[in-house]
Amino acid sequence: MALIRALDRFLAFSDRAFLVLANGCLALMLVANMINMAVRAVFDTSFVQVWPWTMLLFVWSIYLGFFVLYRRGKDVTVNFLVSRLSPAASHRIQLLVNLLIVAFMAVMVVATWQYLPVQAGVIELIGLPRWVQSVPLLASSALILLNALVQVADLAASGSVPPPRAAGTLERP
Amino acid sequence: MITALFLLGVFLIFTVLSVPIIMGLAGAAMLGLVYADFSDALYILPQQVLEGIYSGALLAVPFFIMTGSLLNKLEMTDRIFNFASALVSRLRGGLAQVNIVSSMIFAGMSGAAVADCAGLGMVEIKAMKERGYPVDFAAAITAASSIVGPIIPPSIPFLIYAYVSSTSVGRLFLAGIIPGLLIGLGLMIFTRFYVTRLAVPVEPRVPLRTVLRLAVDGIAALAAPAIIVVAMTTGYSTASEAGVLACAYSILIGFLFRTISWRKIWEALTETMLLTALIMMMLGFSVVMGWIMAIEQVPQQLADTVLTHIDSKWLFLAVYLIFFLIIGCVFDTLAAMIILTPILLPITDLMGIDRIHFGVITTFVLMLGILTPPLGIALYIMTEVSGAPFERVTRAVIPFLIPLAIVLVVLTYIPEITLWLPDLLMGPE
Repeated sequence: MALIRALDRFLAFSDRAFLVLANGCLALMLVANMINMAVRAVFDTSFVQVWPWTMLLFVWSIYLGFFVLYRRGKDVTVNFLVSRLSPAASHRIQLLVNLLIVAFMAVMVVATWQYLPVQAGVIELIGLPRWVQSVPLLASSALILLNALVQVADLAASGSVPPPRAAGTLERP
Repeated sequence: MITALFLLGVFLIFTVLSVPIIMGLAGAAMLGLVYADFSDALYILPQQVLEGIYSGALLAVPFFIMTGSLLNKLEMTDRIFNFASALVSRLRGGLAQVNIVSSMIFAGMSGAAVADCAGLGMVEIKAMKERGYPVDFAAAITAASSIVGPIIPPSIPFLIYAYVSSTSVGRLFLAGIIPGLLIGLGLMIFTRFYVTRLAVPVEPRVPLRTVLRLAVDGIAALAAPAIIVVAMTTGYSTASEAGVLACAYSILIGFLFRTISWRKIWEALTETMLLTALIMMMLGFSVVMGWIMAIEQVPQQLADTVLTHIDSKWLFLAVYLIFFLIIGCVFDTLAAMIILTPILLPITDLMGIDRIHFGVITTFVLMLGILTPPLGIALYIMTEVSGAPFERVTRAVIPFLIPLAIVLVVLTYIPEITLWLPDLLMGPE
């Protein structure tokens, strides 16, 4: 249990760090584009690097947010069936769901790892290698995998049933 | 066709098992790759996810969400409610009518239906409860009126549809204005007669001076969508730049009303980041599923099958509406749109159905899914916000489906209603 608690603390720290980084990417995108539009309006010129940087920050923000989204239970989950089951059956379903997530994210980690060398060359106007785009996806997938493993261990060890997450806890279109 | 059924079936099983939607899509995409014999090239998965989200057209998504989120945090919801109250509270149905008009104004800020339920819904339900309205009725009308959120621009589903169908975002935004107003009007007329069954109070007349004072707030809220639509349709900026302009405007509003703070900006950033990540990761994994279906030639097979049996576009649209109503009940709106739209476009093109018109009715019909169990997200949120039991809220929503269905049929069979404004302002395509 001590190991699980230590891992959970690490995941909580990662969650905060990824939140700050993802929000930072978003804020940078916004500020850079505001400045670029103002410069274009006043001086009839603009910084050409803003576009590729914006796209890179956009992708990073999404990939970093992937872990935060999962960790905070902000993904949409439909509980209409599980909420009608007995506590024991619900517990088994929770375990199964977490095992499925472990499997999916294990595949995702391997697939993203394989994809890194496929992304050859550099990003134009930025000069960074293309594979840096996918590094946050690898990190997020690995952390989600770890998070799901911790939940599996927790469920298996305690036998407790975590409260079901409400569907649509996040603003949806 | 079997590939499509396999992918959708697997995703549905995961959804029913309460696997989070993104994980369900990821799992279905992975199994789909294995099914299509790509198990030795799994890197296709992150590759297609990246290709799906790496698009300049989608860059507008976080900026539009940020605009709505900022205006929400800057306490615009109370101002909108007060303005709408000054305008229409004297009508029969008082606060119920205010609820609908508020949603129509709020739609111009958020582009998301559930943002309406969660943000404006609290203000509306509290006010309606205090004035003696049944709580399930208040929850139901809040949920039903939230439908206009993604129809009146800006709209996140329209952005996504424009991306998957290669249509103009500006045209889609313009095309949504009249349908959005019609939905609001339909709900208002229905409410006018429906409330006669309920003993609801008549609101006092609001002095003209008060109406004019509150109109400043209303205009301030309506300016955000106006900036976006005008900047895009005049060619002054791209969709993403229009979003940046609207964000800048929101911050300016915060300074003018003295409601802005670093904390609120941070909260808006977090909300935006989480919602963008949710939408984009869903889109990314859905793109993988779409890619598998394209490889397996599902769109062509479906087109052949449909065109063999249905030769009238009006009959096709009727079948389509029924099919998508069912899909909207069990699938997430955006996931259904991203996966199914590219499959159906070859058919609609062959039948001569305008892509802009098709986008508006697709969004509308899928949005009805948020009002119907089991996936009815608006119902869950209203249950939480109002405190009324889920079953009562669900029952109370059913009558409001009547005006919504009527408007949907009218919009489907009279495409001119949708296409008139974009054709007028941007010229026919």
